[in-house]
Amino acid sequence: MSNKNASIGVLIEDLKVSFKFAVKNILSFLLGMIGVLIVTVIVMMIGFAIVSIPLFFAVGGPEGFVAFFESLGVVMEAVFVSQPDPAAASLGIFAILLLVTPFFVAIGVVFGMGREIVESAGTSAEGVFVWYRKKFFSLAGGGIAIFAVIGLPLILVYGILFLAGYVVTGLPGAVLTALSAFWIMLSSGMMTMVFPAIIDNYSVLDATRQSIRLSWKYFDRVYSTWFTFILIIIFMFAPLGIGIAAFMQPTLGVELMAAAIYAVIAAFVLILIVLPALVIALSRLYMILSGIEISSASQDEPNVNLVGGT
Amino acid sequence: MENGSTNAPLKDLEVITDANKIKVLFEPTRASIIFEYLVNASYTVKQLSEKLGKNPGTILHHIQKLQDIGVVVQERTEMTPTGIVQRYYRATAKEYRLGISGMMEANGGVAQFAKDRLKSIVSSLSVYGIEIPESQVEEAMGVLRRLIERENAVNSDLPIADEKSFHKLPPSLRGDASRIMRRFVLDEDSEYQRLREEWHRLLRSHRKVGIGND
Repeated sequence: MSNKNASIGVLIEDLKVSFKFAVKNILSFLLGMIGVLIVTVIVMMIGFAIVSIPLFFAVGGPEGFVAFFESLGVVMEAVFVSQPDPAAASLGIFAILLLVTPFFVAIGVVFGMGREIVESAGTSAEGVFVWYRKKFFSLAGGGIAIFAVIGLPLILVYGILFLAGYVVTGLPGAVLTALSAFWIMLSSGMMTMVFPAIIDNYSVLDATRQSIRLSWKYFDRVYSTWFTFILIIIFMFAPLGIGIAAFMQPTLGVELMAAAIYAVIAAFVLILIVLPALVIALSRLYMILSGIEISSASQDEPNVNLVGGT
Repeated sequence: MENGSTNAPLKDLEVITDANKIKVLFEPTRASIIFEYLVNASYTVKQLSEKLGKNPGTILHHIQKLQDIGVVVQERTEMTPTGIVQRYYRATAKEYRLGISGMMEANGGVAQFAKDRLKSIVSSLSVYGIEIPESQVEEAMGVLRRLIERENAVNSDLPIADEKSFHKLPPSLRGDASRIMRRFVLDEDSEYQRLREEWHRLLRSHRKVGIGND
């Protein structure tokens, strides 16, 4: 196997292979993602039903149910905005995490498809359901770990500032924003190998360790791939942003229509090609970086046995 | 943690006594993967999926189960000219034997399988002229079971004086040397000798007249 370090040639080759496999497996990915989406919605509905049916009866029917959610809105507003309470806010974040967990699993199972493609050049849409069933909790945990590593420091910093009543503006505000952006870029790169490692049978904790270890050891290879995909996505949507900023007026129907068409095309390309290519690239990178580099054992003599049960 | 990745040398014989491991190995696809393919050579997920006619994801799940119980390891990773990254997996031993006691403790039909197999072995000796009456089949099964268990215990604990040099030997030579030593330690083991004598006595007592090894 070639070396594990980055170079322009290696990066171009990685991109070429990833996009080639993404295009080749476009239908499997599309069907797989639709399947995942359906299962995710079903899982969320089941989760909602488990919570809401007993609640429905506990609060005394439809009126009580509506009143409960109205009062919940008031409480949330108080907890997060008017009378911030760290303990209640943590509980709120936990509840939100539970809600988005099925989406973490959905993202994770796409990495299962990525792994199949990287190892055998092909995948099948039904394969995602096997990953869904076998790795549900690990992938959910992986998503939470990614969220915790990337998001928690930011929530803590901004939460403390908010609770203390500081409004950071001017130069400190700019520094804080720059540091936050730096942290997001650094930590997201560090966590790129979490899902591929979970698919490779690591536990959530070990997958997180493995991801951090690989991203530090092969910093150039991991971050060059990760940032290249981020740049590709930025460039894809940049014309839209520039267009909106430069030309768009509410009255200009043609520009609005052109922007909408461009946005739809870009979104399709993103979902059907770029994101699968990213998943394939990261899965492939993980396989290369975590693989054992030894030449296959050569056998000098035929494997013939002379001795029986002597 | 290296998650089943290793350059560790291949063992010649491994006796699996843990009931949970035995149960994992009793799944037909996993049994094929390990006993038909990975004990003989290293294979990729793609190669195994082609040979077994299953999808690569399913094969990978089975491989991961086998890695979890420590009978399969990742041997090496290679990249093909088309960009596929192939992982080669192999068994940790050239030969596996399932411990009968462990099988008897396992659920999911494994215990019944072990019992049926022992009974079938005893019955099948009739083709060699050894007719064990129904009333003595249980006893014969008991003797055979103890004999096999003792053999497994002695053979799985074969002392190797120079581990490093042993693993440098070519596989075929190592296999021959291993077989000679396995026989030798069995002959040295008094308990095994006693059980074998008991078993042979039982066989002799049920041998049809006129059948012998003259």
